[in-house]
Amino acid sequence: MVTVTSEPANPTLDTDTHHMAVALLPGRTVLPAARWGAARPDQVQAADYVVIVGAKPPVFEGRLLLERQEGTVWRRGP
Amino acid sequence: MRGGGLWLVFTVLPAVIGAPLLSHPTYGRYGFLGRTALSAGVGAVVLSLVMTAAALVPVPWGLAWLAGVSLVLTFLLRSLLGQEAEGPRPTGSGARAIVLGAVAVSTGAVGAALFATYAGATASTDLFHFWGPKAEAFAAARSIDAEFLRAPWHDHLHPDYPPLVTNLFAFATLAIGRLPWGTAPYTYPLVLAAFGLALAAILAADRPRADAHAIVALAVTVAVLLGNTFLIGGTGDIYLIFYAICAVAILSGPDAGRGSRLLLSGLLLSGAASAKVEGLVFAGATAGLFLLVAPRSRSLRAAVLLLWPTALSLAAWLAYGWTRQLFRFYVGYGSFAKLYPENLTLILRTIGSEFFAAAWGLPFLVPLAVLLLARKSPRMLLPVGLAAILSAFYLFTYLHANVLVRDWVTWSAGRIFTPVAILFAVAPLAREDPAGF
Repeated sequence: MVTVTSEPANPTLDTDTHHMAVALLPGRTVLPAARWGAARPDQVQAADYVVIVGAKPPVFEGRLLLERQEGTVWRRGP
Repeated sequence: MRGGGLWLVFTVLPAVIGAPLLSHPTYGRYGFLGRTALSAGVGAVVLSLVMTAAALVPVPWGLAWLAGVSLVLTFLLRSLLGQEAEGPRPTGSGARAIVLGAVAVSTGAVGAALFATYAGATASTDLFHFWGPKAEAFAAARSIDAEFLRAPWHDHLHPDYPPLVTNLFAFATLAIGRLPWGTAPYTYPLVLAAFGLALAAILAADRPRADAHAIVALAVTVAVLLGNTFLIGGTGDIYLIFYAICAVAILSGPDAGRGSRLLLSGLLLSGAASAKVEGLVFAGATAGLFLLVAPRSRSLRAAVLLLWPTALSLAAWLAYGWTRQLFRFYVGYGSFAKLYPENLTLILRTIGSEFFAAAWGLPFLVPLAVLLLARKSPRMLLPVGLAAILSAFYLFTYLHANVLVRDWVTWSAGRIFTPVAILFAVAPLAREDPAGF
């Protein structure tokens, strides 16, 4: 399960990136970080992988898998 | 575009499926290119119906058996056709220079759509938000994936949306093993070219050739101006235009009352109804208006020939939705009677500003000017009445919105009103049965 969110947090952007992720991550269960502009932190918490568009978050509980100028990819857990 | 070319080939493979029907001698006047384009359209309707029925049963999709069963069905459709007397020949072929000029304009317009797509300037975000993900998921599941549609975070995919385009894309995706996102927008110039060929064949079969090609040039140019502007690459919009306008072109001609023409129109209307939600309104209104403006063709048989393919495809789709407890009818835009009439002024103002921004209204005004100058025929009530009904339906749909109204209209109005402009474009060639009403 994967979710796409943003840093700094932007629920409007997260709504669109969720839709794009459904298209571009076939075979994955893509959870919404926001639905129609409303943040869904419960869904973000349920994801195993988190794609963050934008700056690298100062604190994140998980393992950094990829870092690029556009954003970072994290795996939750130890 | 690696493998994408093959994917595109599979989206037009239904031309083989539809060939048994369109190769019947009664369609001989449409010529090879016109028959091929119409075969692709009819074949896609039959293939989509078989795919939906297979999902309903359920039987996993397979390329060979889907194509085989669809082919058998079009052979059965062909067996419905008997010998027919030749329809009326068009009077006056017109100037060859006009035909050549019009064909050059149509070809140039399709080239413009192709180049714009190559430049990445026509790809719709709806391809990525809606049409593509469904096709991809369905191909992976080898069926219409109810669980994928049921997920609450997939509601932006409109689970109730009719299945022809996603079925067709899924069929091609099954063939090459992936959905080529960069290639999918090329369905726009491809179907546009098929539309031009089919429309030219239909109009030139029973109307003066020069007039027919001039009107095709106008219709294709309008489709390209609006299609390029409002980004319809990879969506169902060009499929709706193909099916809806070709059906109206047949039914607004002097040859419309023949059984073969009614059957073909009925199949095309089914394609319209299966391509987009508004296609169902269009199919019902077309059948009703045709029976109104063509009294000599008014019969139960005509009504059945026009409507049974739509009824069958709709029944299969709704049965799927009911049995999977996904939907009972089209509900994507809210409850039928829940309207916000206080937004009417805002909606009309936004539509107006869209049409008059950067001269986007011209593709509507030029066909209207041609229509006003054309010889009048009572049969014109069919395309013009349909334009009015479709416009009223869009307005009615917009009245269901209470949030982001302006954004919704701005994003969609130019695109969804495109068939209205093309209906105006083809209306000047409406001709009644020469035997009279």
